[in-house]
Amino acid sequence: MTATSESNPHSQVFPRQGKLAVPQFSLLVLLLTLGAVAADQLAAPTLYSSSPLWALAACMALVWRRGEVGYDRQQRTSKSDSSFEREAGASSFRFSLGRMAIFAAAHVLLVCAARILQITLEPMRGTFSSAGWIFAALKLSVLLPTLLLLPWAQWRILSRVYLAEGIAALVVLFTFFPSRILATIWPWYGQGLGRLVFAFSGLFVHGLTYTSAFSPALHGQDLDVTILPSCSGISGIELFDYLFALVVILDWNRLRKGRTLIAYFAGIAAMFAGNALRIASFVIFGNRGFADAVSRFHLSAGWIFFSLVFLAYLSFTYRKLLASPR
Amino acid sequence: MKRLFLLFCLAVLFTPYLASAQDWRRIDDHPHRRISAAQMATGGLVLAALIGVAGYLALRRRHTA
Repeated sequence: MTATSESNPHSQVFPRQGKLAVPQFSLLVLLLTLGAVAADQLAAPTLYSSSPLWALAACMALVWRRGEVGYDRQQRTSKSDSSFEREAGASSFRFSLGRMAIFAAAHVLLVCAARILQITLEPMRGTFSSAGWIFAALKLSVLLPTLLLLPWAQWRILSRVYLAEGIAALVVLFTFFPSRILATIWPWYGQGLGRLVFAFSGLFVHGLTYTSAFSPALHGQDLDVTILPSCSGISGIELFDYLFALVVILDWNRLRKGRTLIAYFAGIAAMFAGNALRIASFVIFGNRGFADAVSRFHLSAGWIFFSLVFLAYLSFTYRKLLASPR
Repeated sequence: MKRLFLLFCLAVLFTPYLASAQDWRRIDDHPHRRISAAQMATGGLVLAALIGVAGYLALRRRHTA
């Protein structure tokens, strides 16, 4: 690998003959990992989890969207940036057969261990106990053999080049489908949600009463509303995840990465608030003469409501997320 | 691409109608179209996704122009 001349302010790292460019090499590493993880999950269904697959797919999409790796010399602020240039220039990004063999062996070992422990691990599968959480974390171990593919020095360079993409992949890995987290905290979160909806709806509906239970219920004159765990807002979060992912993938090169990360978590909070507002609106409209319509359309209307909350949030934040054009 | 997107929107809008048209029931000698909650929820989900995507694309276009 080498870097372009000093005269180009947006220099790009490109390959010498016979070696792969950083984006191509990184995509191949991710593709190899994706293939190996899918093979692991097929060979040992105990290891199945969609999170690593989604995280790898997201990382590949972002690396592909970023295209040629470059950095602005005028923006360099520390010595580490110029040392990155030297390191990138000196490194050769190519696969070593020995490391590939170790990578494959590690995956085989992982699959064998999972198959041997299958009977012990199976009862913990999908549970929300501590053992279930440990088991869920173990499923992520399918990503570890990838560390053996490259020497540490090259990982250090790639992690600097693709720091933002790596963080985005970690966000996908841990938060893209937060149903496990929501199911675990439901006993407390459900009460908080129920009381919030009750306090807000009580302003508009007279004679409303609240029953505290695992599934809290609000009793009105025309309509009783029970807040089930499926009403936790998980559907809204998943819709937000998909739509926000589309925004990130399409606009990746124009986004301010730090602000985008903050906007993602703030957006999740906004969807939770939107969910409370959604349930409150059902209670209010249901007890104001629209009980039949609320009973019939609350599911589909809920999805559209979540979509509108997302659009309102995006129209508020979108301009701030985009980097100003030079 | 725009035409394909419009075609997809039309398909989504007509899917619940087509689904319900398959299931004619006679109640009090009047045919009623029935659509299950799951079908309605799926229709709502796809419509919501379309609204979200269309809204985002419009917003993006406005900021790109």
